[in-house]
Amino acid sequence: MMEKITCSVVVVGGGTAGWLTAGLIAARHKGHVKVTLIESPNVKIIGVGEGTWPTIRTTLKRIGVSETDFLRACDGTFKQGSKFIDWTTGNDTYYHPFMLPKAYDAINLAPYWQAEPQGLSFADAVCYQPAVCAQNLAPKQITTPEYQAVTNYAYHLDAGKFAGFLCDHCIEKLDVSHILADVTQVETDADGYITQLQAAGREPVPGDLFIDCTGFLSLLIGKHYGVPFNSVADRLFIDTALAVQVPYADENAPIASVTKSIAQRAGWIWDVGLTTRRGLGHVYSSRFTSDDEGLADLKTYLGLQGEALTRDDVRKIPINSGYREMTWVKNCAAVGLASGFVEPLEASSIVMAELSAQMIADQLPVNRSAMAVVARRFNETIRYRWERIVDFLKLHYVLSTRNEPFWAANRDPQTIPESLKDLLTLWQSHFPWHDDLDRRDELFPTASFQYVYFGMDGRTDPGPFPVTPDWPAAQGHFRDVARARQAVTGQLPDTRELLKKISQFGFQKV
Amino acid sequence: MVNQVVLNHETHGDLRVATHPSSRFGDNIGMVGIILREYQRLVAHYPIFFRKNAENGRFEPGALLGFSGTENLYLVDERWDAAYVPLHVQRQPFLIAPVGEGHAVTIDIDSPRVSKDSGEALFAEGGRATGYLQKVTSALKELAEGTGAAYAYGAKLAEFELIESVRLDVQFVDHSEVKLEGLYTINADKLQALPGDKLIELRDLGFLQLAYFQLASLSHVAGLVARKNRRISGLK
Repeated sequence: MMEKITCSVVVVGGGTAGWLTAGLIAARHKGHVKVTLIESPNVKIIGVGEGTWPTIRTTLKRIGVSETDFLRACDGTFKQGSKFIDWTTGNDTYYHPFMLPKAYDAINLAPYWQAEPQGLSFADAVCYQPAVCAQNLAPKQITTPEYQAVTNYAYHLDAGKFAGFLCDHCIEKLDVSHILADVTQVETDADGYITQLQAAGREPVPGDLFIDCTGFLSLLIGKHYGVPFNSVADRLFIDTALAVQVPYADENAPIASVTKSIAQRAGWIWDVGLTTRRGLGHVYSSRFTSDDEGLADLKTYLGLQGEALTRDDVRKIPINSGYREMTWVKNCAAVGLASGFVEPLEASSIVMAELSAQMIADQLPVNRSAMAVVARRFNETIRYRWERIVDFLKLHYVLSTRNEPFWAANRDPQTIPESLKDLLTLWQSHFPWHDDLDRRDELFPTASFQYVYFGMDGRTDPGPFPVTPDWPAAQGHFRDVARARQAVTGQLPDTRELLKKISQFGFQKV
Repeated sequence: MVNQVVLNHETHGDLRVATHPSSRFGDNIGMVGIILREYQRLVAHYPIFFRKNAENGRFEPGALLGFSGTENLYLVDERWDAAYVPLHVQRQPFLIAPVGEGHAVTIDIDSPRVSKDSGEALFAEGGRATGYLQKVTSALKELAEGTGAAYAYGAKLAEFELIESVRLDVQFVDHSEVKLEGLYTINADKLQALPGDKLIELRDLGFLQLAYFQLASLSHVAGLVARKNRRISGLK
């Protein structure tokens, strides 16, 4: 018997993940795969995710949207990395920039920096981007073409507007069919493959591959297939978010081009600047603080602007960190919150949705034999990625020397994954480097681990092992970074100024 | 420093302006902005490219004069070595600036072109503008009216995705090399393949002929290289 060819993909759920997935698949397979997105008219999208990774630029380009249109429609701003405040001692700052350390493919500068830091932080010694961020400069000029960069960047965006923007584009330009209806029933064949979805008041929606983008509801993977949820709450303690939107103090207030993350007694506050407003949130562990204290700490951080803030102004969102044990079952894959979610530190949510969707689009199985193989790989990869994210986030807590109970509890060895313990043991005597992680396409490369490890006062003692064989080369690179810092900061415009020009003139495509 | 002030015959009645080009006057520029009405005359002498305006990123057409920001190969011993001189060179040291509700002619009073003893007079007896000043004023008006159209032309070609970036990679007789970036041209193949409705739109806007002029003008890059080689060889 001829196997059935995949020619129709049904995405369930119309949030960021749903439209990104529909867009990536439709753009890649336009003309031979029919993409339908069905979403409930009654479910509000979560839409708190406001931070992205530089992969988003490739993603948007693939989907075929203009960067100018995107920035204007989604109140978008630039993100060049993260700035961590008070994480290590309670009175400190470090950057995790998106640009790799200088000459990262050729030389590990960490041992040279540690031997002679010359008064510079690790990030400043090996990368000029922190200086760009510190001055609120944009990552490019108005003459830089769309999606091209002077310094590597991603975006901050209004997630609600982003979903709407992608929706319009997918329908108008990519022929995605859009159905507004509640899914009432999932129908399967004898092998358990989904054949069609019953939709309230509509014709049934048949398909060959179904993507579950129904958020925390996890309608297909969780509810229908009953895939268990693998909680990581024993490692990551954050379980509550209080989110709020505040206007800028004045219309010329600087717009940061990093996500600011400010450590608190039992969690941390995110502070993200869009063009029209700031988006903030306090995430904390309810085991170590109360909602009242959580709100009070948020108000303290906001200062004058927070004085009038009440419980009614903030949105309380429960955070259940973890992921589905399998994210592809039969002919159904999960993308976005339906697949998993960990606390928002390092903004892993949208990038995970992009990577999952891209993997589905790239490897779209032509029939069920291929699908079984792709499913197995997808499950392995996604699971591996979630575990590495947990390791990387936990690293931020483990390295802190803050002594409030929340922070002390985070350092309890019982709560640290074995894989992270191994890395930390290794790095006591071995400078973090490429080979320390397993995969070529790590979500967080060892460069990210270097920025956080040395940013949080982690140190390496190689003992008698020689680790600085080529001082002239290292000094040359340090000089290059210093020179580039002068040149680039002198050349890049203020972020707010550039955003004004984008709204007025836009970027050229070339 | 440039010091533009509104021109009037009471204050500036005795001023004279040197009209010949010279590097002393800041004419050693590698590219000069142009307007569409000049194309027909420019195309006989200069390679025409787009560059991006540094302030707003928009494409603006310009005539390439040299291989660096300060090299003008059309400037030979205080003489302009081409039969047509672009308006933006001719207008120096004057500008039109918004003043109150309207516009006024301004003069860069600190320009080394300006003096009381040599060059063309601006005003005749009774404060009447001289023929020279009338000519400059009409050039300024032409430029003021033509700037918007020049941007519109670039924007339309960009909208139709006909503009591409180029890098000029040139080697001269002494084996020195230059790689010139930041220039944009029209992609001839894409222009040729443009759907009929868009071609007609370009034609109706008057842009189609200009685009072909601009493509044809690129043959002058070879002429520019020859000018540079002559200069390197001491032949002027």
